[in-house]
Amino acid sequence: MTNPSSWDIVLDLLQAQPLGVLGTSREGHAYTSLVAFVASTDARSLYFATTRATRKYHNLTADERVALLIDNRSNRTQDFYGAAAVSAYGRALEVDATAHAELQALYLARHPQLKSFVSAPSTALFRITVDNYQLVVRFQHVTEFRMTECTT
Amino acid sequence: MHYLIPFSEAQQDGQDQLGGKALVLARLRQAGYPVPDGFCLPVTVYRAFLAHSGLADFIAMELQRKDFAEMRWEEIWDVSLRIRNHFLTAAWPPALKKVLLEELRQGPAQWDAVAVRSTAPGEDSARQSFAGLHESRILVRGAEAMLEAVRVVWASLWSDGALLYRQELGLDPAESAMAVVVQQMVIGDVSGILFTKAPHDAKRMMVEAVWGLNQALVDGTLEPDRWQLDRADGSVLEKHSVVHSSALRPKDRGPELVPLSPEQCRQSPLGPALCAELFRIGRQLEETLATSVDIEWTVLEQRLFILQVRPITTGLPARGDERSWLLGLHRSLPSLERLRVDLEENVLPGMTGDAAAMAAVELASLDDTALAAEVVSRRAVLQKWLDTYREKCIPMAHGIRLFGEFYNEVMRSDDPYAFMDLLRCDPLLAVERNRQLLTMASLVRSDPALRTPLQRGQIPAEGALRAMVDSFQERFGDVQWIAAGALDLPAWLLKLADEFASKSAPREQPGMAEELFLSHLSEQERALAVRLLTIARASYALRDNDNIYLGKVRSGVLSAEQEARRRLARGDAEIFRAALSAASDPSALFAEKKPAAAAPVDVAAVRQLARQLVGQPAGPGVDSGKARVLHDGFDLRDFRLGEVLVCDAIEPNMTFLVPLAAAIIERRGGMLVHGAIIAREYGIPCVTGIAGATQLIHTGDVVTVDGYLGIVTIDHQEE
Repeated sequence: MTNPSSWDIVLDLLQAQPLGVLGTSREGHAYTSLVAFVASTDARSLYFATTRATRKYHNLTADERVALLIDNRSNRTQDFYGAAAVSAYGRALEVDATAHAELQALYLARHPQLKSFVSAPSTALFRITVDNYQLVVRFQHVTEFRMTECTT
Repeated sequence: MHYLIPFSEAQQDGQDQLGGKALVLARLRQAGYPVPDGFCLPVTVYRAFLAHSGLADFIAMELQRKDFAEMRWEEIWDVSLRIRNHFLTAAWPPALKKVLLEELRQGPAQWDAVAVRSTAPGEDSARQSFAGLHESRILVRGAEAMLEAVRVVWASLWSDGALLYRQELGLDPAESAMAVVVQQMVIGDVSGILFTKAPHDAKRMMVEAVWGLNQALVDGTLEPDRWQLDRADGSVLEKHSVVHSSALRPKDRGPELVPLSPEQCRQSPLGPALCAELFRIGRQLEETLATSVDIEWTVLEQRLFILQVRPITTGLPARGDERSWLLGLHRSLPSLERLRVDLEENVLPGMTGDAAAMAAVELASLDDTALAAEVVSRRAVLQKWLDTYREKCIPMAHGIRLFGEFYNEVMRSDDPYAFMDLLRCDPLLAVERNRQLLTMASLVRSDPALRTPLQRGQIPAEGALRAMVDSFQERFGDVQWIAAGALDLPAWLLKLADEFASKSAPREQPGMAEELFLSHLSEQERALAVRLLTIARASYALRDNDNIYLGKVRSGVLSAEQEARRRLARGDAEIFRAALSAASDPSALFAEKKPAAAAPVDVAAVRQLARQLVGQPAGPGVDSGKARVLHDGFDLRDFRLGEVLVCDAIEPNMTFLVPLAAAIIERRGGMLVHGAIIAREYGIPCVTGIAGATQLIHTGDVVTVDGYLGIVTIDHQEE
């Protein structure tokens, strides 16, 4: 039996999972939202979209530090040993106009059904620049990946 | 792998893949019936297109936005429009497109022209008939055009009619799929439909026929000759003939109505020999298929061809006439052109005439008996116009869609509503009415001497303001009655003068230039586009204006009722009790049942608050403000500049408020409800179709209205 390397598990989760749980901070209190995301191929950036009237948008304008949990659980007992979950930590900033078209295309290639949502002028596209990932497998086995160390 | 399946190879076990219509045609051709040759494009291809383009998920998302049973016809139109536009703008998966084009070129593109028709599994079984709910395309030439026609036909699986029908039959829309028939086009001289069992008499067959192609008969553009035959021996029992003046024939690239030769005008497209042949083939088909059928046929150079065959269904379980009324809202361009003339020449002037006759009566001078009779007769007049409204004014709205479908197909715009900007041409009456009110208000603002009489509830007897008020009331009726007694003009002018003291009045939005649109079209498309645009503009303006006309009649009824109530309150005229009874009140009869919102959880431990609500995007833009929820009996004067108007439905008596509003939220849904139309005129964000809007949002809540996406976000203000 061959095990994929831990970093491959992270990349697999980023490619395979359409949704993640975004954690933002609201006046010092944690606030979570389910978001559709897409990852850049080097896993350094994660993208998600939100309309500007949402709480998460307000939270992000006050504090750009975020976490995004991505996992493959099926909400069954087997998850305790079989599921993998990765948390990305980083800073989320709204994508600026110069890169917007290209990144929107990247996002839509993954989520074509969200075309009207992402194209609406009231929707903001965010980029999370990831500082590090923490991967949990086999219930308690945790590995950290610091992005400055995993290049080459 | 081969996608296109020739009729000669279509097997009986392919029902799930090919649909009933394709199989019947293939089977009949194999059995030697005169069916033009064709190919089937199976359901697999539809599913592959959906999966690769992301459409499957998009459709699922559209269908779960709101409980289908709660949607009004305007909302179902919108859902259908959005899904159709996604079909039109979705990219073909390159590999699929390449193979399909190759196969089309080697197969049907060898013929001069083809018809592209739907054949959905489950449709046209003996129990269900989707006849006329799905689109077909005729006279399609070339592989590329065939491919485009295929997606138009696929998209029609999601037509509003088909959506309603599946709902009625309890079929799951997500389970539906469509195959397509690409059939050699036979351009006949005479065409028609044969019912082997007449709809109203099982002992008869019925034949309908027109000159030219069948499409004009099927969509109701042309009246057919109609003959009834005895099922026993084929003898002609009854002939119903009409005057024929035109026929649908191929011209340049598409079908077009052309005048008939004088000789054909005098002749019936039917004759005894043709009827005998139809009778013979009808009996034969009944035997082959073991059911009675309706048959679309055409005759080319004395040869009869069978184009389509459907089992005759027994019809749907009776559930009131609502569904057939809804499906009847679809009109062809020529029938809309006739309807427009009728509305402009008869209906609207009729309403104006009746309103003027009412206004001419000096109510105070009538004795009690005469006044009671006046109330009853005015209510009857209003009832008549409300019936006409439903029968004629609402169907006119279809002109907007007809143009929208054309626009979206030609322009392939990502925004399915982009075409709406082309429709705003002449100002709507409601906008014109507001404009005049704002002009009067600015006069009041600049002349402080006018305030004193206005504060006493009076318009000065002479001067510029009086002249404006007189011409205003002559054109729009008495504003007090239009606003159902909730508003008097002097108070409203003072309010407008004060509200707009610090801010300029809203500007109406300019429309889109039609030259830009027309420049995208070929010469041949342009002529049709101009006709469609003309009708769409007329139907857009009428959609709102007819309310102003109806409002004038209503104002005549209200003024008589008010006078009667006044006398009744004095206690000296029991005669008014019967006249004023609710049972005879047409407005009450027509009042829409308002669905109650789900009861909010509100027990001691849990307090339920709506935070974000999803409706339909109905006017682009985003704005925030304090909500002002309009309940019955609401005083219009409470409404403040910059508030967000939240209501069940924008009535003609509320359009006064719109220039003051930052945004509009309406329970009724769709692009074509009045709130949405007025909001667009002013460029105000608008979201419609929020179930329970007036219960879930409270006056004073700060709301953000996202008119691009149809989302309302609420910040509840703690009490």
